[in-house]
Amino acid sequence: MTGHQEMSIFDSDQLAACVQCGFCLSSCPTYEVTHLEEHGPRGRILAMRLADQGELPLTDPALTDSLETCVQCRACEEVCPSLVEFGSLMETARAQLHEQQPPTGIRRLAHAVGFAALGRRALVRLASLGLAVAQLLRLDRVLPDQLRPARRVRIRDVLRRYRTPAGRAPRGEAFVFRGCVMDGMFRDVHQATVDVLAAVGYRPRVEPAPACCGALSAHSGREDEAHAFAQATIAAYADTHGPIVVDAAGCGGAMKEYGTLLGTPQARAFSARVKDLSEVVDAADVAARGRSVPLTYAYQAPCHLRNVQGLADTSLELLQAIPGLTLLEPDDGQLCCGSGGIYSLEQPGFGDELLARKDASLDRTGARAVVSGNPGCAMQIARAGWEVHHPAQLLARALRD
Amino acid sequence: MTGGVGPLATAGRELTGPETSLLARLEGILGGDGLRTGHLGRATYRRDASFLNADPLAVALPRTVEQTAQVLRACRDHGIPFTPRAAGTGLAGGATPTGEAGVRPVVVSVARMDRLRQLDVPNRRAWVEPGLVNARLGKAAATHGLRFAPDPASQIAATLGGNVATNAGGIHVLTYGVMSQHVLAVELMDADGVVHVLDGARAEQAGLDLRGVTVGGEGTLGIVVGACLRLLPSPPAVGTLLAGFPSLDAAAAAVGALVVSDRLPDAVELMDARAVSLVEGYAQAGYPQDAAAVLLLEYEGLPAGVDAGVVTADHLAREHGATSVVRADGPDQRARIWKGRKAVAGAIAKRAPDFYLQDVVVPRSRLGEMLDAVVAIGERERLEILTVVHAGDGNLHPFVLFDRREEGMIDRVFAAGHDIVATALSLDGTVTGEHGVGIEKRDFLGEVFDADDLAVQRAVRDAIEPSGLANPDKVLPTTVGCGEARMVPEGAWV
Repeated sequence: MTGHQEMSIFDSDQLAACVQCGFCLSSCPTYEVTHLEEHGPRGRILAMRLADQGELPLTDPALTDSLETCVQCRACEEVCPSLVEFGSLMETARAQLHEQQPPTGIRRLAHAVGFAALGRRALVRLASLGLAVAQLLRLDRVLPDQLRPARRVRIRDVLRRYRTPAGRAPRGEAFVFRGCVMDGMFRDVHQATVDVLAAVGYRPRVEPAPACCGALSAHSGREDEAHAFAQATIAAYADTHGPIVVDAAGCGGAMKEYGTLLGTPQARAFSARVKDLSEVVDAADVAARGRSVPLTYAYQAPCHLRNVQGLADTSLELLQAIPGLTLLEPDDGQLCCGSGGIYSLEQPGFGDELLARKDASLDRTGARAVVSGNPGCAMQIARAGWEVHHPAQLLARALRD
Repeated sequence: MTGGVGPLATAGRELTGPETSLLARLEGILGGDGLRTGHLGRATYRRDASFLNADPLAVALPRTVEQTAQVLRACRDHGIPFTPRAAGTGLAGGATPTGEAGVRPVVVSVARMDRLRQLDVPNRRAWVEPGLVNARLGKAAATHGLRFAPDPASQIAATLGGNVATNAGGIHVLTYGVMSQHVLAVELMDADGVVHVLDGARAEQAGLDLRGVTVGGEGTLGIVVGACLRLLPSPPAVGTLLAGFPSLDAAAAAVGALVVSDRLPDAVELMDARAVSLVEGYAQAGYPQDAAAVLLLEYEGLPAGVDAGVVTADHLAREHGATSVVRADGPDQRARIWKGRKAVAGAIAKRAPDFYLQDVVVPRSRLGEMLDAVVAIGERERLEILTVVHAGDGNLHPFVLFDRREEGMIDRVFAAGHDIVATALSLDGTVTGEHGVGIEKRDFLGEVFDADDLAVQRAVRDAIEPSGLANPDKVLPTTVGCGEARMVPEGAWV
């Protein structure tokens, strides 16, 4: 045991904000898997307290495991009567862990390459192209299941140039945030977002195009890198006006929290501009003039749309406005699918178990396809054999001229 | 008082011979995945939602009734006690693993046994495993137009096994009664690992009511490994009202009038101004912010009856000085009103990192006196006390707020707690309404019952559970002495 640490790791007020009532337990995906306190939010806060008070070092293997197995879905924040900022506590914990016990071996190499690539859009796009070619030639099958993206990437989508319609735009400019992985592997989704924005009266823009929002860096404890990504993103949009529409729920959640991450007025002003599609498209408008989309989908609310942005219901209501579309909600209380950015790679035990549960609850809806607004969820759920579409794609179809 | 003794004093103790061999046997039964013996694994089970801590020897998480039996037999063979637990949302320390003479019990968590075994819709009953979350039974029942009535504030996480063990209550106990009224059968596992099915799903039972004895046993009679629960039809209509009052006394007087009116409400909750301001930000329920006390009233049943109740309540509330009476405008506001009420305990942390929660009951006619006394006690001990009340049945929950790090604080908190209980007893009340006795209220029982009463209770317990290994140190005081209430038993710390 190490001696008492003089320097407090955590904001003591934030830690004290938990009275250990346990209301959070049933909301936590990892607690649902093991039913162990150390895999639930209350136990994780206790683990942080023990580290903070010096009773156990942060590097104690059980304590590290407790903190690293959190998928950071933030469902516990939704049910916390004390409004404990669990996500922020967990990011502090991860940053400390990263400092005291940086990744080693193959994990270190993977992080070094992976995170470096996130900042270079051309690299991500090249990798996406490589993947598309490999999938075409079935070469991707040599990869182990965990590392093989289940999403089918088409070469023409990777090479696609965005078409930005130049019609009448009474609502002014709206900026589609392209991001890193989305811009490489989900160009079809971005195009749909562009089309929807044009259809509801915006002039869609796909430039500027900052590299990466930094969400994955923040979740992995790479604090400085997360700050740098955030600052670069804010700087890129410095001379623009209008909503910044983010069609990846995880990125949107992170960008809406730049204000608290950086604590500057500029960052707060930027965060206020960040919007999910469901915030800029009017459901009544879609209901009034949308074409029928006579399909049935299971609706999966990405955790960072539901728990961070608080828009799961708004997004659902928007989709429900599409004539002819049938949406079925799984009976699992929208428990996390286990994707969690790179969580499914880092914690395959939990990631696979959560996916199996999600697969079963989606199956119980009777739907044959899933609609979900986050690339991580889309790729994770596709691993279980599901066809996954983005809300923007359904909206684009309904609003097509 | 042992308040303030920190966890470092007990961590990392050497294992005795029997402890070592018990752990080896438990690992054989449960595998590494079902047993926690390390520092963190044990530390996370030191307490429930009360403020008392004690270090367990280990934490066992059986997946089946058979594994549970094997765990209990292993404990018995090694003479080591066990403390049952599920979600650990209890408020009286019933799941805090204290043992007599400093013996560390094994925590046996039934959280992994969480299936709804059978939803018997035609007979309106459900067979459940102990780890099933209360609200999940409610959700499953609701799809068939049924409900499970006991609705403790912690129902989104609390388990039905724990609800049975503590004879839990909730907001709607006024007309539906506490847990015991909704338990048709209990599957109780004794310390030898033998399961006894007490009562059954049949409508009437002959013989002594052993089921009734075990509901509320708080683990001292064995572990609840299953239960058959009564389901009720969901009411066709619901009316929920919020009434603001200029004083606690006025609200208490209105409660007195409401419960003897010709329309008995199905829920009558009182929140003081502190409680209201604490949870409004979270629930956004529209509670009146300028009132000294707020009543939450609910009427259920046929639409005409509900409307009549609402009219009666509006009239009576205003007659007793209500400054505002508002009916919830729909299911959404109703949900937010109850969400706010249920969030009080968890939201306390916005005011103070610790709370000591009382659960006293007084006759409804004495409610005003009791509320005034609580305010006076808070002023005398210079402590912030926030009170919510299941007012219809006179069950007060004063939360004494504190920060354990403050010098001399614990003594003042316990003095206030003691005075609240003593006042309730002097008003013909009692020490607990629904949270159970656990260890926090244990030594107060000497003030409620005389030596003979306690001897009878002890004899009943010993007849059902002679080994003394089932949740030792809980519920019944070991030594009886009026006025000797110890808030922190040996082996525990704050």
